[in-house]
Amino acid sequence: MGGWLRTVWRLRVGRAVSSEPAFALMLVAPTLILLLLFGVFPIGYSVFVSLLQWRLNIPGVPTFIGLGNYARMFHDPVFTASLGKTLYYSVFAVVGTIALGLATALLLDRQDVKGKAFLIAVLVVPWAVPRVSAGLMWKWIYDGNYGILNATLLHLGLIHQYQWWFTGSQWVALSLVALTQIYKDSPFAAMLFLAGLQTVPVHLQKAAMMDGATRTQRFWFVTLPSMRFVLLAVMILETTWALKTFDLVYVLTGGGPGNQTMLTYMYVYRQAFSYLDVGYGSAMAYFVTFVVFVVAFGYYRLAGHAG
Amino acid sequence: MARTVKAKKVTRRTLLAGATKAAVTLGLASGLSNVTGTKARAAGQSYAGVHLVILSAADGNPGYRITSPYIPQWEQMTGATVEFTEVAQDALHAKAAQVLVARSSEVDLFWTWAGYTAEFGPAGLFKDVTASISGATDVKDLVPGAMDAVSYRGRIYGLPRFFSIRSFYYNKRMFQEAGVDPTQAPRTWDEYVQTARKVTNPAKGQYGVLHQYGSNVGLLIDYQDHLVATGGRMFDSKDRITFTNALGLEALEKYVELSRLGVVDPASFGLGESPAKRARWIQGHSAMEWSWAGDYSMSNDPKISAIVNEVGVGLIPGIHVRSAAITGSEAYAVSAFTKNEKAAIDFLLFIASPAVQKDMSRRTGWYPVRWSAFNDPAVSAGNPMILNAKLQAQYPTYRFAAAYTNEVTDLLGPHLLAAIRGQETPKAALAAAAAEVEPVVAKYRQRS
Repeated sequence: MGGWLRTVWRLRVGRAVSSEPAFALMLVAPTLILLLLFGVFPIGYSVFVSLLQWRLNIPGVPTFIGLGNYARMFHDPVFTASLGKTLYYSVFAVVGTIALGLATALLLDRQDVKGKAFLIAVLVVPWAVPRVSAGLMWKWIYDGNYGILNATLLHLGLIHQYQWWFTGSQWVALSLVALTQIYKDSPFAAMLFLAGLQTVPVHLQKAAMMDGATRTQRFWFVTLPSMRFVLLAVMILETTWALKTFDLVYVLTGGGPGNQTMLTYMYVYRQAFSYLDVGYGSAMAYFVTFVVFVVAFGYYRLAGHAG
Repeated sequence: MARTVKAKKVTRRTLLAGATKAAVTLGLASGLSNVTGTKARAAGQSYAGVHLVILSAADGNPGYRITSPYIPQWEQMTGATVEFTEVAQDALHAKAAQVLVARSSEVDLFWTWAGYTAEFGPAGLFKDVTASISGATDVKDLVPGAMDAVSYRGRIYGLPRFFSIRSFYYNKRMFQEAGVDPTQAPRTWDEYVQTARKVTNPAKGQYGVLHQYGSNVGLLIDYQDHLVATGGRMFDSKDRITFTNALGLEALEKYVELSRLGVVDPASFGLGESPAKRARWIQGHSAMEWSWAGDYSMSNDPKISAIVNEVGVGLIPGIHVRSAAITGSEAYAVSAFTKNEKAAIDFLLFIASPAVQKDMSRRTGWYPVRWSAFNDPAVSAGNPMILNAKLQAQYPTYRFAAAYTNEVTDLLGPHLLAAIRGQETPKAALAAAAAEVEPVVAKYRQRS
């Protein structure tokens, strides 16, 4: 097909004009146009909107205020508090996901595990369930009237009456939301770690064993270092996903009670879509994007040093 | 001279040309028939071919649906089709804003309450239908508290689907067991607090009062309940903050006092929305609550309630007034960009008609939007809520609604919760909230 197109191109355009680069450009032009229309233009426009004072429910022309929205952020107590909550949430979610994912991968990597293929298929289910569905499921699990968590703990004698789990300390509330993210993301991490475990040099393991290293020592000094790139890839992905969490918070708590679980992106949504302050919402969104970029860059440099 | 007829050669070009001509002809014919109205219509089907799209909040609990049961009848009467979509209230606001600001005609009618109407009406996003409504129906028959949901500063943007005013519910069995007269509700604030203390027995899982601390909206509704009972208001007519004055402070102190006394069901902290609060109420853990009309019918539903025939209703006990209540009517507003304005208004008039309102009220327990339905003995028979609502409506009513309602709710809510938890004093909580609210409201003051 490429040859036919090339022939038509040369007959139409003329041999003097046609060239390999021009032909290649013609072939990628549709994708480039789509990218410009649905990628570059919206991003550029929303950056411009972040420089405006623009509330959709106040009629009138938006006003250009430069970096005013960005400056406003740091005087906004809800926003600054959300940064701390998002940091706590991200650390909890990333550490938990990596720990559970790694433990699962190590268990599945054992030679004596039966039905490995079936177990891996079952493992994928939480990851395959849409995040909103997972959030709704956990909302019911945590529910203070009917939740199975309460029923189980009451049956085991660990609590004396049903609890409303999100209404206590904000750190407990944030941890519960993070547990939902760990449930959702640890299968993906486990898959990556399982693949990484296959690349650990067997001769190093055997050499360590012969030198008398314990299982724990082999894990810390042979297995983990061999998996450092996989580990870093998982950390980068999980950190960026955790920093950008919105859907789980929206479904589980809406950012409440009060602003207890108000993560940064939930607040961005609140400003842009509840209060219709699209200028301020855009500015906050780009600030968080910048933070995510810095974190990802930091990890990349770390990976470079480790390499 | 004989004419020689050349046989036309059938080629791809001729086939394509013929097909194009046929398509254009058919399209023009269909379009013309729409313009000239020659499309066949049954008698009385004035909106045949119209597809009305309604974006609504929840249409009531299962078995108590408010608007959707009447749609097939209207469709049959008019020949129109209706697409009725329910979304969660928070998502509805965002969706409505996106559709309206984009000036899209994809939705004809939006669910609304006083807050959304105050936000979208003056901004030109809801259609001002004052003239159409006034000319099409007896406006005097519409309950003013119901019209508050869909009008702002004298302009009307749609019609209400039910009238709602807070009522006082109490559990007669729990009163009797605690030695309190079960035949009447507390008449004063002090009586209310004393009764709550008598009834509370945490060992039995019994509490005096049920509140709604689980969301900023719930907290603000509860606070307004107490504010209107002192005679206070959130803002004055010039959008200046008044909730920090003596009446506003006393309202918060009274609200917080109940939690400090330990008479509030701890589940209140987890109740964010009215359906969740209703579900808790009908389990019978609390003796008293201030709530909406739907709670009464659900309380007496044997399929779901643990307190059937145990619930009494009464006037809300005031603090500086005998009684006062907030209203919470719901409505549908017409989009400023709809292409089906006449059909949309016709639908609203149908839903607000006396016949539909009587049936809706009998079936669901929500109050009708027309006085003629309110006063109908068939509607009030066997439903003490109707008589109670009429009595309650004679006392002061209020509902905070402004273009900045969402923001004030989210700024004030956390401070109310902090005051309830003892993390801030009521005075400090209101002062801190006011400091955050003032710059937000100032922007809207500049607009007006």
